[in-house]
Amino acid sequence: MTGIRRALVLAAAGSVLATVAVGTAQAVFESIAAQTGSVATATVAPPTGIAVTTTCDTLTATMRVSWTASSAPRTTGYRVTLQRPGFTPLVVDADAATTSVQVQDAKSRVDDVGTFTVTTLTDTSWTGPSAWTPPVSCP
Amino acid sequence: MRITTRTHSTVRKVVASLGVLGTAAAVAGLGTYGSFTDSTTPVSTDIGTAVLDLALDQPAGAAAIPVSTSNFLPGDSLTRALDLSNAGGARLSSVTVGVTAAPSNLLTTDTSQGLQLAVRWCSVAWVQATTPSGPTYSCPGTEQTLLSGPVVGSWTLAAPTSLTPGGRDRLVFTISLPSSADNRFQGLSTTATLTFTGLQATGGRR
Repeated sequence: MTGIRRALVLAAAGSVLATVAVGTAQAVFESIAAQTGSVATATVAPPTGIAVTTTCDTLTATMRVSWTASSAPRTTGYRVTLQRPGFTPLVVDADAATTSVQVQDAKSRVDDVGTFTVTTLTDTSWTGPSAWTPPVSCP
Repeated sequence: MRITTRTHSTVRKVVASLGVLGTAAAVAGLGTYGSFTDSTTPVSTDIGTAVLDLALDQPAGAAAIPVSTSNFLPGDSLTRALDLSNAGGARLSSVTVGVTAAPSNLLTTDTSQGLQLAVRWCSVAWVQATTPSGPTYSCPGTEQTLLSGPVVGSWTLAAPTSLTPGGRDRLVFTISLPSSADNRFQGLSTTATLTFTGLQATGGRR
């Protein structure tokens, strides 16, 4: 009985080895077909030529911010932001046809410290902010 | 008693040895026998191997491929039709789609906000419509989405028609940029390569 079992085991092992040997000897051929496509994302151009003219009285600073419209397609408007150290930024939105807005604030908050940026808004989540202006200064 | 046993044992050994020698002599003798043979004319068998040929074609009248698009914005997508066919004579065991992209940047490494790929299959030819924003495709038969996810990856198509010789899969692929892509994705570009690979099916008995 033990001899028969041993013979069967040897035969099975031989069969497995033969199968593995045949398997590794088989070549697998493949055929390949390919195509390419390029995608370049847009850059939202910020408005250019940002200019700030400031007039002041004893307590109030009145600032007119103007710019040249952005060349970005699908522009929906502009966001004018006045950064005031120690205070919440002051934000004014304008439509795509507008190229200047007037902003008023306490002279003490902005004189020599307040700076502006104008951001292009689009119908997507992308925006194009301009660089910050130098601090406004009451004449 | 002991002497008798030894005698029997010796006799048995002598008989066994003679048996072994006799068998060996018989086997050796076999080698000296003459051998007569006859042979027929060899049967000639021609074996032609099948050709593996996976092909990508543009359906007639379809928008141009390869495609290059610029000024892509969040929410934009680009769709083109492509026919994948088994133009060879061999059956395939599988067809995989691998997409690589270079250069690698946020468009390809950000799997949620970066470029996304979808490949759809139609049982009959896609119907193309032209719109100002690009071609659109509708399937007048049965439609299936074969894969959908980040643009770079590798997928095995589920039971494509092109497994069999002459089979044709009518596909459209769409590359899109999710609306959630933020300002970091501006001004980037990449070139994606779609590679379809068909593997030969295992051979059988003939």
